[in-house]
Amino acid sequence: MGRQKVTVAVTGLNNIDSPGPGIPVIRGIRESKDFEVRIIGLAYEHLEPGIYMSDLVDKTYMIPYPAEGKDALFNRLLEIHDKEKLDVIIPNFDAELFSFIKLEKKLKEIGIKTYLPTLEQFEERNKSNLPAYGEKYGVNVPAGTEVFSISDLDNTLKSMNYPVMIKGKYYDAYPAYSMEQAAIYFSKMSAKWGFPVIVQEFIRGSEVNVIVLGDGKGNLIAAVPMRKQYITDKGKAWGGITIDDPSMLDLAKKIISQTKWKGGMELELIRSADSKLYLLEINPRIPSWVYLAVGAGQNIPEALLKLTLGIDVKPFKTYDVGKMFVRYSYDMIVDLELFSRLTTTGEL
Amino acid sequence: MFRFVHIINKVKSETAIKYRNTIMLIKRNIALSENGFVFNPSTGDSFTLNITGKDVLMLIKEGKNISQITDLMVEKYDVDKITLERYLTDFVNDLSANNLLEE
Repeated sequence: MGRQKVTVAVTGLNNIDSPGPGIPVIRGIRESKDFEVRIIGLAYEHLEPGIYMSDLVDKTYMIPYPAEGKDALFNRLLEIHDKEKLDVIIPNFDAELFSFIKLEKKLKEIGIKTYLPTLEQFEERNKSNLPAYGEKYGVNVPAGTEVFSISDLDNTLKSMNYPVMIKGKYYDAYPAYSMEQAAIYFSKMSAKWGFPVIVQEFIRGSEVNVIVLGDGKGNLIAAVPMRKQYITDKGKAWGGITIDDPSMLDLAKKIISQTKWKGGMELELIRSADSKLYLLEINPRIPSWVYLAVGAGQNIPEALLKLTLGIDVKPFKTYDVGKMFVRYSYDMIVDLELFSRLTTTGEL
Repeated sequence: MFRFVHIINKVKSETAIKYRNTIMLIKRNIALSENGFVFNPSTGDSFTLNITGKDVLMLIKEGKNISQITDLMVEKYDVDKITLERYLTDFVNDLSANNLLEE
């Protein structure tokens, strides 16, 4: 039997120093023996590197920023669908997920499938709701609160010990060692990501993450734990290694079975000095280090694509421990003609 | 400072007593390669041992205690027994602190 032809649109082509997951998702899908894929990149910025990676991305279209609203996004997707006949869209940014979840039904009506959590699931794991989430599901979560103004911040910090983590609504987190530093990061985070800004207790320990795939019925389809080995000044893993930590897998299983999460997810955790696991964040999509999971034996992007298409996927049982990833940067040479075509026509 | 040193010495002497005549168990899943590379798959930590460290770890894996390892190594190296035992205790402390030994 031949391979199934499928056209998949993917966002998150920003393979930069704080990378989006688009490119590793595409690599995983392209390695599938079951599909013959045409990859359509969906980009927000003209310089997202994935746009110019013609060996991975067949065609790219610019799409409007989430701030322009879901209707603008839907209209643009209609235009793209008209030309490309999309089967599946895999969104990879936190900030765009709200719109895609809201558009799920409309997209389905025109023949485009997605595999996303419900709006309730999406909101529940929000950074600002994390303490309540921890209480509800019996998970250790650092004490935290959301702040909307400098005076809020001042009041909050009176009852906390330094350092504290100052976190943006969607991305970015900085440790602050004084009120002055906290105020600087508060301004930076609110200007970049809006309100609220989250102030969180600082837990010392090693940063460990789990990539997870849930089927929406409470089943854990895939999970690979990773320890960050090298962290950039933006807090991103530049190198990591798969580890054998059953307690992290148990936590993933517990969260998936209780929340019935549908789609990809990343649990950001800290293993404290006394060996306790603290949940720092739940990212509601596949993380940018997903290709490590592929290399360790769990092709999560392929599994996600199959689930999206309604193909049965058996849960992965094993993965290779001690598999590492090391990220690198690479300069592509791009002709101005390509850039000008993209900026003038919105597609390449 | 005194208190800190005092605590460290206390821990060392406790370790020395604990392992002098007792078999130490390297955690079951710890991987040790021929070239002295140690990997703890539970934490993702890795360490590089020199030849002496690798020899000691191999002897621990064989089930030798500090006293037995001291007797074996004192013949091989130009060092007195007391100093060697102190080095071995330090090394075992490091193994323990890095979660490589069963409690």
